[in-house]
Amino acid sequence: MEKKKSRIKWSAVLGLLIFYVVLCAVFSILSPFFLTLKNFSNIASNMAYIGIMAAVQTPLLIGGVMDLSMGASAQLAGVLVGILYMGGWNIWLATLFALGIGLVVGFLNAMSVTRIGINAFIATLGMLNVIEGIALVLTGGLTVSILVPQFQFIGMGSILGIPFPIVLMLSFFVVFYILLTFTPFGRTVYAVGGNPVASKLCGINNTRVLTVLFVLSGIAGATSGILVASMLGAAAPAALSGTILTVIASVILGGTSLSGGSGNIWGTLLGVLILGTLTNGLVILNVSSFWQEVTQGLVLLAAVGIDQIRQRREQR
Amino acid sequence: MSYLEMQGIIKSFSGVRVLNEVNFSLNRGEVVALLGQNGAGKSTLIKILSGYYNKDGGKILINGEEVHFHAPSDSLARGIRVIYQELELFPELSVAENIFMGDLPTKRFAGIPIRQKEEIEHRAQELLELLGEQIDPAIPVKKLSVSEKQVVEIARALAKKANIIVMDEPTATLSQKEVEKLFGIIRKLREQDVGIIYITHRLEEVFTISNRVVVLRDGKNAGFFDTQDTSWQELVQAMIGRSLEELYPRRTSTLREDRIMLRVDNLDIPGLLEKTSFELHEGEILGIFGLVGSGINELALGLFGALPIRGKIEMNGQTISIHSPAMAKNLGFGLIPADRKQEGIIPELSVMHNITMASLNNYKKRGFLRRADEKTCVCEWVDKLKIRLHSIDQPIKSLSGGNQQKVVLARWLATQSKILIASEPTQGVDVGTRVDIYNIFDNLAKNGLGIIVLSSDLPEVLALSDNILVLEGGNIVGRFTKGEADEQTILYLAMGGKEKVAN
Repeated sequence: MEKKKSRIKWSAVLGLLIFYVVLCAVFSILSPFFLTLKNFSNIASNMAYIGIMAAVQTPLLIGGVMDLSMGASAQLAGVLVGILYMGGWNIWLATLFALGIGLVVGFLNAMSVTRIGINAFIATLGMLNVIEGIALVLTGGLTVSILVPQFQFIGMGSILGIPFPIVLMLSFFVVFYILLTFTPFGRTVYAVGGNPVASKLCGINNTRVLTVLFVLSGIAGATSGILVASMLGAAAPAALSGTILTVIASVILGGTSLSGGSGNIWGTLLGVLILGTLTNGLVILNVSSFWQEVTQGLVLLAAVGIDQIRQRREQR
Repeated sequence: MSYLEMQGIIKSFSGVRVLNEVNFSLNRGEVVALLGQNGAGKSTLIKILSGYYNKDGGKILINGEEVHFHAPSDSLARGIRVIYQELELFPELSVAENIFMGDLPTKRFAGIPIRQKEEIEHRAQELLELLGEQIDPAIPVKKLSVSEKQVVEIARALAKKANIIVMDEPTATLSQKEVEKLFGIIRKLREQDVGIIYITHRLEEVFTISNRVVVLRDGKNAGFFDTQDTSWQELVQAMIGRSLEELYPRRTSTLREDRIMLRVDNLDIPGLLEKTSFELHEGEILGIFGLVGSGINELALGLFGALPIRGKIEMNGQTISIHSPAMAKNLGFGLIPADRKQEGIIPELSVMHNITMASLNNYKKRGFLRRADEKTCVCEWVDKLKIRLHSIDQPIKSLSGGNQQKVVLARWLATQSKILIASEPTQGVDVGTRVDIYNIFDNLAKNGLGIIVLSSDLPEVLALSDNILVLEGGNIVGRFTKGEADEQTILYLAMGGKEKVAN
C-alpha cells in the first residue's frame, strides 16, 4: 500500500512529464531547429522570470492564498533600479533597495490579508493596481534604460556554461522544494491551506505562516523584475502586465489545487516548461502570436480537465 | 415483497470490496434503522440507493420492478430522498424557495417566467403545517436553527413526493428537545406512508423510533431485527461481532488529591460562559456534562486559547495566561475538538503528517525534519492506539471517523501533553473505537495526565469521570463526585432545572 500511495502522488507529475515529452517530440518532427541544446537553453532562460514567480506562487496556493501582485512587484523593481541608477545610485545598492521594496509590498499584502481580513485575491488585486500605477507615475510611462555591464550579468551571464537566469530559477525551485518538504515551516503551509481552523488548533500560528509566504512572494517578484530588467537592459513600466496569469496557469497546470492544501513544486516546474516550450515551438513554426495565446489556453484547459476526470474516476 | 428491496448489493473501490452481497428492505410507512460501525458500509449502501455510486452487482427493486440508478436524478425521480448531515440548502433563499427549488411554480408574462412568491409561500406553509411546524416560509434559510433547517429539508422531500426518506445521523447536532420534535415529525411522515431509513450511532434512538433494525458489519449483513424483540446487547453484539462485556471501562480512580494541576478561577468567555471555577488533579478524569448549546465546546476552546477568556488560571501553582492555542500547547495542553471534520483533521494530508503536525519541532535536526524520527513516533502511536490503516502515508480523509479521532488523539499524545481537553471525544465514533478511546483515557489517567472530558453523552461522563460538573446556559449548575452522581439529577440540572446542589 505504501507503494500505491506514492504512485498516486507522482502520477500527476508523471502525466505532465509524458505530455512534455510528446510535445517536444511533435515539435522536433515539425522543425529541425527545435531539438537543440541551444534552443532548450533559450526556452529555460526566457521562462526563468516566470519560473521564479511560479516557484513562490506554489506554496502560496498550497497555503490557501494567492498573490496577484507579483508581476506588478516585478515591474516596480525593474523601474526602481533604473530610476535610482539614473539618479546616481550604485547599481547594486539600487538592486538591494528594489528587493527591499518587494519585501515591503509582500508585508503589506500579508497585513491586509491576515490582520484586516481581506480576501487574498482582492487584497493582491488591489495591490497590483497600486504598484503598477506607481511604476507608471515614477517613469511617466517611459522606458528606463539600464546599461551597466556588471548588472547585465544577472540576465546574460553564465556559470559553468549554464545561463545565469536558469541557475537563478532552479535555485528558487530547489530552495522551495526543500522548504516545503523538509522543514517544519513547509509542513505548516500545507496545514494552513488544508484546514486553517484545525491548523490553528494544532498550535500553528497561521498569521505568521502567511506573512512569511507573502514576504517571500514580494521578494521573488522583485527578483524576477530585476532579472528581466537586466536581460533587456531596460525597464518598462508595463512590460510585465499580464505575466501573473501565466504564472498562475503554470502552477495550476503543475497540479497544485486552487483550493489549497495540496500541490507539488516539481509539477510547477514542468508547468512552466510546458508553457515555455509551447510558445517557443510555435514561434519556430512561425505560428502567429495570436494563435499562440489560443493554444496556451487550450493546453491549460486540457491538462486540468484530464486531471479532474482522472480524480473523479478514482473516486467513483 | 417489500416496497424497496436491495438484493445482493456488491460494491468495490480500487479492488477492495466494501459491500458484499448486502440485502436491505423497506416498506412504506415504516422506519428501519440502519446500524453499523464507521466503515461498515452504511454510507456506501445509501450512496448506491441515491444513485451517487454505481453498484457492481445485485439488484434494486421498487414495487417489485427492477430499477437502475445511474445518477442521483434517477433515484430522485423514483421518490428517494437522502437528507445528509451537512444539509444541502441555499442559505440566501427563502424557506419556501428552498422547499420548491427545482420546480418553482411559475407564471409566464410575455414568455418570461415570473416567480410566484405568494403561491409557493402558501404551499410551503401547508407542507410545514403538515409536519406540525411553524416556520415563516418567507425568511431566508440562513436565519433558521439547525433543527429548523432539517425540517425544511424534510418538507422539501415531501414537496418532491418522496416515498422513501433516508436520514443520515439527523440528531448528531440537535439538542434533546429538538430530537423529540424530530421524532414527532418522523411519526407524522410514517402516517403519510413514507418509508424512512434512519442511520444513527445512538442506540436509544433506535429503540424510540424504529420498527426494524438492519445491522451491517464489514460490508456484510450482520443481522435483521424487529425492534420490539431485540435488546441493546444483541444489537451491539451484531455491530461489533463479539459480545460486549462492557462498553465502559471499570475505572479505579487514579486521582492524586495532593497534586492540583490546574485551578480555574472565575473563567469568563464574554457572552458564552460565566464565572466557571474548577480544579483538575493529576491522574483525574474530570467530566463536564452539558447538552448541545450549554457552552461545553466554548469552554474547551477557551481553555485552549482559541476563544478570548477572562479569569485566573493556575497551573501547578503558577498563574498562567493562555491567549492562543500555541501558548496552550507549549504549556502542555492538548485539545480534541468537538467537530472533527472542521476543527480536527487536515483532510488532504497523510495520517503521519496529521499526527506530527502539533509536534514538528520534536523531529527537527538543524532545521530539517527527520522522516525517520517522525515515522518512529507515528508508528508507536498507531500501534498503541490500534489505529487501523493501510499505510501511515494514506490521506487521513480515507480513514473511518473513529480512526480519524484516534489520529487526532495521537497528535496530542505525540506532543506529550500533560492536560488533555477532550470535547465530545466519541461523537460520530463507532462502538468498537469508543471502547478503545475509553481505555486509552483510563490508561492516560493512570500515567498521571489530567483529562477534561466535555460531553453531551451522559452515560459516558458518568462512567469515566472522577468528578462531574454540569454546565447549562454557560453556567456551572451542579458538581458531583463519582459516587454521588445520579443520571436523573444531572439531566434535570442540564436541562435547566433548579439547582439542587450548589458549591
